[in-house]
Amino acid sequence: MRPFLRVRHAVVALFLLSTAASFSQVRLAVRPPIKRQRHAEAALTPDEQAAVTKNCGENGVPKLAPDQNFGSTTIIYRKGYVLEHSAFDKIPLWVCEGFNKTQWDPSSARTDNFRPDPLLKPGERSELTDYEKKGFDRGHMAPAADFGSKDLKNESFFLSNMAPQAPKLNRVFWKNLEDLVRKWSTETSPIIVYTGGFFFDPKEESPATANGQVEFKRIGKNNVAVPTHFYKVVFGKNDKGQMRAVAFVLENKEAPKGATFESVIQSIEWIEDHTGITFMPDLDTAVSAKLKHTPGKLFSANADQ
Amino acid sequence: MPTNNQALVFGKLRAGLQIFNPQVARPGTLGFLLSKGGDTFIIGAKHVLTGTRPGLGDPIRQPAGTSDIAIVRRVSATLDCAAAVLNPDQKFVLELLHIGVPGPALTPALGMRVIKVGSTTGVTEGVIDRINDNEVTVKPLRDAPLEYQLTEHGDSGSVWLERDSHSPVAMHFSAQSGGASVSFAIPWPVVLTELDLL
Repeated sequence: MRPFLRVRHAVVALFLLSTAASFSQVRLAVRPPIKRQRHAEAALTPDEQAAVTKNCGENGVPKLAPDQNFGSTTIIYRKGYVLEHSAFDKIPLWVCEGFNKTQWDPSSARTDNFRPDPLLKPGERSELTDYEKKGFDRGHMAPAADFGSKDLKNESFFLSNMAPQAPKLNRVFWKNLEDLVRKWSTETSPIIVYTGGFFFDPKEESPATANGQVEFKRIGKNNVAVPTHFYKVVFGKNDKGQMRAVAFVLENKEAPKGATFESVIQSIEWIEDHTGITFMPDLDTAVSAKLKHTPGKLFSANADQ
Repeated sequence: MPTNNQALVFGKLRAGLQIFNPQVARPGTLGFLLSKGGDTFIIGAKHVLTGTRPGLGDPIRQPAGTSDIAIVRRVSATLDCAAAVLNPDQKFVLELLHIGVPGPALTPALGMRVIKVGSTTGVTEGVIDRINDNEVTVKPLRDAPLEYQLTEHGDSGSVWLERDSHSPVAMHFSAQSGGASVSFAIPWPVVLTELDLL
C-alpha cells in the first residue's frame, strides 16, 4: 500500500475574502488532539445486520486503516444506507447504499426535510445553523433521488448523510454523476455505491513539495469540516455475473471545463490509500486486487446498461 | 461467507459460543461457565445479557437456538458484567470452545500473554498492556500485523486467559473505535467479586 498521505493534525485557514460575505464565516480552526473512543462489542441487531447486507453487500462494512487516528466514529444503520460518521469532522467518512431500480423508480416528491441526526449527540454532529450562509450546499452523500419511497427519501435528509459541498459541484457535475450511477441499477442488477468526502492535497504526493499538512476549511459553530475532495465508488455485476467496479474523485469545487465522467475516474486503490478506508474488506483477495488496482470503466455512458 | 462456528448450537453448551438476550437482540460471547452453590452460571457482558434493561429474570438464548438456556440472576450496578443461571435441563461442559478446560483464576499482570475465544473472531492472542483498578487493556502482540483483529463486535463477554495455563484473568467488554484493535477488559477477580461468585 502506498503511503497514506492525508495528514489531519493541523488546519490552515483559507480566507476567501474577495468573494461574497457568505464566505466570511469560514474561519480558522485548530484541531485538538484526536482521541479514539470506545465502543461496546456486542454484535449487530437483526435490523442492523439486514441494513448492512442490503447496503454494503456480503463483503463487510468498510474498514478504517488501523494506523490512522480517525477519532470517535459512529456507524449508523438505516434501511436506505449505512454510514460511518466522524464526531470530529461532523461528516460521514463513508456512506454505502445498495439498491436496484425498484428502490428509486418511481420517485416520490422531494421534501427537503434537512435535520440533525437524532442518533448522534449534540456537539458530535452538524446542525442546520452550521451550514447557514457559509457558501456550501448540504451535499447528500446518499442522494435523495436514490430513494423512491417517501420514508427512505426522508431519512436521506439527516445531516449525518451530508457534507459541505460547493454548489457549483453539487448542482451540476456531481448531480449528473449521481444520475448516471443510479441508472446503472436495473430491476435485476443491483449496485453498491460508497460515497464520502476526504482531505487531499496533490502537493503531498511528492517529498519535494509535501509539508505534512492538508489545508481545508471548517464551517459553523460545530466546526464542520469541508472536504477538499469527494469520492464515489460503485460495485456492480456485468451480464456474465462477474463483479465490476468504477470509482470517481472530484475536487470540492466546480468541475473543470470539459470534464467528462471518464476524466474523473480514479482507481479504488488510490482512493483507499488517500482516505484510509478499505471498501468491501472481505472481498476475495484476487478479485479485490483486480477490481481495485486499475481504474475501472463506466458501466455505461448513459442510462442504458 | 464463512460459517461462524461460535454461532452454532452444540450438543453441550460451552464458553466461547454466541449468546443473546432476545429482548436486547445484540449477540455477544458466553464468556465463562462456573458452578457454584448447586447452580451453574454463565458469565458475560452486561450490555449483552441485559442491554439497558434492568435485566434480572430475562431469558438468555443462543441466536441460532430455539429455547432459553439461562435466566439472568446477577447484574453489576457499576461494571459491564452480569451472570445468568443455566436452566436445569441445559447440557453443558465446563470448557471453552477451541481451548479446553480452563485453569484456576489468576490476577492479571503486565506483559502477560493472553488468549480468548470470541464469538466473532474465534481464538485471538494479545498481551496485557495496562492495568487499572477495574480495567485491563490488551493489545495485539508487538509483531502482529497491523490489520490483526484482536476483537470484533460480538466478542463482548469473552474471557482473556493466560496463554499457557488457560487461567481466566479478565473479561473483554469494549474496544477502541476507529483504529488499531485494542481490548478493554475487567480483571477476572473483580468480575467474580462484583457478581458475588468468588
